[in-house]
Amino acid sequence: MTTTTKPFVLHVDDEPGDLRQWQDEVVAQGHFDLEVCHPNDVTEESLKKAALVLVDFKIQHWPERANAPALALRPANGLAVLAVLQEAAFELAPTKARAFALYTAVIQDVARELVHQPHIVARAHNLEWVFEKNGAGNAADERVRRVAALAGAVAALPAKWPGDDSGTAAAALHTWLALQENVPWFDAAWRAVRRCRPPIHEFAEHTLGTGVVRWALHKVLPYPTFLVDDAHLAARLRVSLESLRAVVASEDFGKVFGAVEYRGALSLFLGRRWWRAGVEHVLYEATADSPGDLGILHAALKERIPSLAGEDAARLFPVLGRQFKTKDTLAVEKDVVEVRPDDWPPFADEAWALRTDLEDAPELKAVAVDEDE
Amino acid sequence: MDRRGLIFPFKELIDECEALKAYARDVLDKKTLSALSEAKSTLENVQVSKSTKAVRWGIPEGQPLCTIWSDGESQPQSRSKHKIRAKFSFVWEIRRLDEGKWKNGKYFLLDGLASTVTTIVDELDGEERCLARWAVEVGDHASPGTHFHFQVKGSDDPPFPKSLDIPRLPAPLMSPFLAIDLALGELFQDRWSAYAVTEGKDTNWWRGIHQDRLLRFFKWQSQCVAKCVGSPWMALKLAKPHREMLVEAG
Repeated sequence: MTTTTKPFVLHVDDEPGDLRQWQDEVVAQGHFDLEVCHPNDVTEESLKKAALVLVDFKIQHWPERANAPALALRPANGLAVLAVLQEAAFELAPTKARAFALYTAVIQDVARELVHQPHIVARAHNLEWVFEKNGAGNAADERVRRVAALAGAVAALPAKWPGDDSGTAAAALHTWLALQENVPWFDAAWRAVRRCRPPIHEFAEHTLGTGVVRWALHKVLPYPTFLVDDAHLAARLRVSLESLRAVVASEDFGKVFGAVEYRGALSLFLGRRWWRAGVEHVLYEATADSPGDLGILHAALKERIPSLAGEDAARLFPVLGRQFKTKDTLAVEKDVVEVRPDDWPPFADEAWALRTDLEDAPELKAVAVDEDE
Repeated sequence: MDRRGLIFPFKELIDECEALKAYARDVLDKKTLSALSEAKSTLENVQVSKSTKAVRWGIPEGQPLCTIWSDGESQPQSRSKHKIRAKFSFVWEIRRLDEGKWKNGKYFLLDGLASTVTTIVDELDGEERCLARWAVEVGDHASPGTHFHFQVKGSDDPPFPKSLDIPRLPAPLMSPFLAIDLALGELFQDRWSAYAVTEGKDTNWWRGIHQDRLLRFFKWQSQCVAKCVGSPWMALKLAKPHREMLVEAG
């Protein structure tokens, strides 16, 4: 069962007055209800009803903390406040699922030695997410959409995760992922989901379903798994990423691939994702007489989506750049080297980087795989 | 009723694509692993398609699955002077079954072209050079030679010119992926035998897929010899397997 009311987000900040513009954007979009308050003013009632608790990382204006007699009463920053609120929320409402996230303009301070990737930093700090206040792609309207998506994803969890029965647990995940059981590629997609080890039984029960949300946020959406991003879709189609991005919102593209776009609870969170099994089904249907023939594939695509620019390469590779962020171009086989970042899930496709990028990006060079290994 | 071909469960071959990726990961070129993913997806889609017409399933020659380089390892103790690698492609003509007792969409029929090609290459002045090429093939109802056989795939010139399609050397029943296992054992003599006979998650998975299939094959072969009249060899050469050999109740 899912809730039909708007999710409630509790936002804790040491200077609530500075968040007026943020609050206005939330109201304008209307996806969730928001309360912004100082750490001193967090109430049990607000914490109990929150689907998402956001806390600012830098908490400086808090005189009561400075005057507290014991070290354990002086949480150093938002991470420490979040830990306190996580346990308090459980004590107050032990059966309600909620997510906890940091809200920061200084992800580099939170990341410390880690790359500045929200999912990696969040995982390291026992949080669902770290929202960045600044930087490319983090404009206020976009941030509000993401916060809404996370709160909505938590609100969309079943009231009680049915982890003790494999059939109902699987069905709960199908629903949460918006994986339709009547599509012809359902079995292939579900096999691929299971290979990614979704925590749908005792762990999902223990975490009230937020373990599933975390799995999707930390281990699925950021990586090429059963869902793939535009770069991996372009590589599979052997077309330029630029041409795919230019046409992806078009009617032509939607007619061909619209039905295989991921539309689950987190579909607005990290950008478009595509069901890999669905993409494969579309390609098979278009090239069934000669699956694997790139000439036929390109001809079929050209007929349906004329502006897609086919690439004359047997294989194309999305590549990681600085901070392990996917670059905007695809590479060919001779130019890439495998990289294995520590957090890269074993069930995801391999990660690649341009050989020429290694010298300029020490974080990439450190994880490059010795080709003679 | 048509008795030609050989019936396979879709699931086994779909699993084989995944199993090979896990089992042989350390000796396959990871840049080419997508060939296995794409082959698996094609088979998954053949299974769910409504059509029962014959289709080609395979790994295209132009986008082969490759091994890493074997530097001397094609002889024990790395004594070979060759630094080589293998490239694999295959084509199977298959038909989704949707008739009689096969109406549940779980099986396909292999009937027609069935060839897995292994090409061994080295590198000379930055260019790949073909040193050897062979195919593992499954015959059809009319093909001469043993039903499951190897063929040397030469060039236009002798020895083994393309125009000469003998000998067909007897092979066990090999899926494209078992044919790859064979080649890995040749390229990495010590390394592969040391690994492939161990007990582990991936080797056990691999064994689970192939053991039953091979046992059924050898049972059929031994029965051919046991019941033969005249030359046992000719009995083997002429024998055609029952189409349900791999799926009938043991």
